[in-house]
Amino acid sequence: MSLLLIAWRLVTSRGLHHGVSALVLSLGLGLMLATVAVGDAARDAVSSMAARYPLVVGPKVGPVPLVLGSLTGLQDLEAGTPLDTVGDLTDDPRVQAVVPLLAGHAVQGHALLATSPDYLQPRERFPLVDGRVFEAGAGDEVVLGAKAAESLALGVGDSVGIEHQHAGAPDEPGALKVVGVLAPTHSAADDTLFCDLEAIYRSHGSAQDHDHDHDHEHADPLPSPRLVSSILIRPTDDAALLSLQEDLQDRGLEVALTGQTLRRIADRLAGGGRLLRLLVGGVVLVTFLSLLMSTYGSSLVQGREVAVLRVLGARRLQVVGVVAAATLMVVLAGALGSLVVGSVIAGVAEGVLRDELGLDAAVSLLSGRAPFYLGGGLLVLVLAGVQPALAAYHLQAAEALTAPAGSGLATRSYLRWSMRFLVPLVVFIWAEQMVAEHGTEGFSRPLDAESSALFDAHRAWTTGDTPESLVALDGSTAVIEGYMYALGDPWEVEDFYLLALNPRLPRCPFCYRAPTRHERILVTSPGGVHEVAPGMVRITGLLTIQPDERDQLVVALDTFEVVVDE
Amino acid sequence: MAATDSSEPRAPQSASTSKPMLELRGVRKAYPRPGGGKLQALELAELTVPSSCCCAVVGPNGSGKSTLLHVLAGLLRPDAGSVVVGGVSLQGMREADLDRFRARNVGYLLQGGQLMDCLSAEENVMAALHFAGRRRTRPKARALLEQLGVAHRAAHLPTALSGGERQRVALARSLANEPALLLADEPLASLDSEGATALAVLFGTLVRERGLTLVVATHQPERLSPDMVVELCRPWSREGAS
Repeated sequence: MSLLLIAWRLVTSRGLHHGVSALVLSLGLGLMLATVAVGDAARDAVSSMAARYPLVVGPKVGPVPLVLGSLTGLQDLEAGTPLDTVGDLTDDPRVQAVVPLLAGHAVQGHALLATSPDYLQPRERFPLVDGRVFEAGAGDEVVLGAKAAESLALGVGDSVGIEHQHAGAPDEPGALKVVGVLAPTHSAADDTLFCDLEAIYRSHGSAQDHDHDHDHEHADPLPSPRLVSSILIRPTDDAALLSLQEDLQDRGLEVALTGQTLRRIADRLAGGGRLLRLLVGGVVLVTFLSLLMSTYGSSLVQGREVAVLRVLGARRLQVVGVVAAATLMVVLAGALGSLVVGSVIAGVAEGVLRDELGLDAAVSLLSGRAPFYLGGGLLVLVLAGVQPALAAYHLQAAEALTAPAGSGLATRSYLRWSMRFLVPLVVFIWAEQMVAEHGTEGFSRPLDAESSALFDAHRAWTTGDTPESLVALDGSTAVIEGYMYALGDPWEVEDFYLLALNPRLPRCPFCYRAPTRHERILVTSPGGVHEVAPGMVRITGLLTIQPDERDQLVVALDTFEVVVDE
Repeated sequence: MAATDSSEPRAPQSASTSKPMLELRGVRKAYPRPGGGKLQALELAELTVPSSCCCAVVGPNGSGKSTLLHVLAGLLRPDAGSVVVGGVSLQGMREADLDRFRARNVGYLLQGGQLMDCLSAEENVMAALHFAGRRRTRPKARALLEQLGVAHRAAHLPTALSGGERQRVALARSLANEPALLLADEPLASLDSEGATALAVLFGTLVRERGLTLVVATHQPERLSPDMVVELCRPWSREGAS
């Protein structure tokens, strides 16, 4: 006989009651963990996607369809961008990598993406199980995604034909030879075939040249000059990114900043995200109250048993141990169950992100913020679970023995203590909402030494020989989440950009958050209100930047001076 | 009598000694009333119970019988007066020491048995042995149940036992720590005539053969053939009663 055995008997004697409690904990905590983990994974996936190709160029369809069509395949893109642009960009010193894309073709129902071999880089992301990647300019080679290879029952050395986008068009027999098969990547690539642009151009050339005695039409001939659907670009650095964007826009092309566009999509979904977080907060609250009610119900029954233990000679701390252990067993079961529930939800969400949004997200409950939430949730639940143990400690055995059945530990003090435990719960939910809303970087904080050094480096990189006094941050008052700088030549600007740079991720164009383009800047100064017109703008004072309630950066204009040279 | 300062309270003296098992002087206990003030539950000027004696405590409901037993068990501290059990003063003893004293020296047969419903009959007895600091509790528990004729119900939960069986298991539990003092609160109330007679005989045997001091709160003292009867009346005073 041990105290743990008595605790176990207390739990199992009301197995259904405690089982339901553990289930409720599992569902509540599991839902919370899954929500956090999926959010983290989706954000990481977006960042990863944006990091590979910060710029996307294509036809004038708007940045969102362009990015979705180019990076996820969720949107059909017409071939409308001259192939010559690819050549120009390849020769541009500001460009590190250029990958053209031409969609709209298929092989027996599987998408065929014409691109360059660079698309299948890095190799860790697109590992091969057999063969090699098609060579640049090879018009007769194709690489198969894992699912496509399995579905088509094809391997290296086999041949496939290309379907054009017109009804009844027969495949071009033996047009492409399989030279490689990719390993499963758990992304849209698994169901895709990859070939060089040249393969499609040759195919169209032969299709247009072939005998037209048959009854189908070529609904999608590629006109001359050759076109591509879109172009993925990786600039050498941030400055190159922005100047490239400007140049390409001047050429009448749609240019999308991948990170910005994806974040815009995320912002549009933010309303739903906030609602989800509120719902999760509600679930946590209900879970907590459920545990309170469960322990309250248990205490009604346990009160007399605790009194009997005291009669048998159990000390107060011993009965505390018994009751606390019984409650913790339920909480522990709920925690373990939450990992199972969270894993199941995460697994489902992973598939949805991959299939519906084209995001290659690896959802894990053991990384990112999820362990923090698990720890916080368990702490709150343990606090709730400790409550009946405290009630047991304060139980007057003599009173409980003579009290009516069912009155047990249920005293006014029980409810009073319960209310006290609601405080940390509310704090936890509030913190959860804040972290979810702003991220751990989002809270205002003073500029520290590390941030100052980063800022100095970034400023020097951005502005070159900009005088020290040109842009400065007041370290004593700056409570920002990023830095501010102006772009231009160096300060003769057509437009004035404010970009927030995450200090944790220096010199990364995807770390820009909520870029804001200001067409007009009104400056309040002792001399009155001035409008900063395009022209020479020289900033000589101090800046402070703070996020407003919409998380947009707001410049405190009255804290810096702008001198407009007439 | 001065309070015992030792953290390890002395055991009550055996029946062979001349000192009484219980000595109470000027004991008073009042409970707070819901509407304010206090309700006097027990007033006892003096009570001395010798060892190896069966003492029946009688009185109407509300006269303080259960309160007296709680005080003797160390579950309640009197507002005034002194309580000496087996030569050990409970007054001023720390609560943990009272718990240890009760676990090792006092058996308490609660009203209606009051077994722990989550534990089997055997585990109820084992729990008492555990808190009394005994080891190898299962064989001892089984032996006690055998002595009381309920060993065949050892694995059953209390809810599966009859009233008589529950009372016997409860008695086995209260005897598990081999107490010098056995307190019993209305032990015959929930039993039929035959069961009550059997239990009364058992009590007599425990007193005569094991030298146990038995204090029984009861409305049926005649069934027990007690050596002494203490009659409690409802306290007439109402301190601060509204």
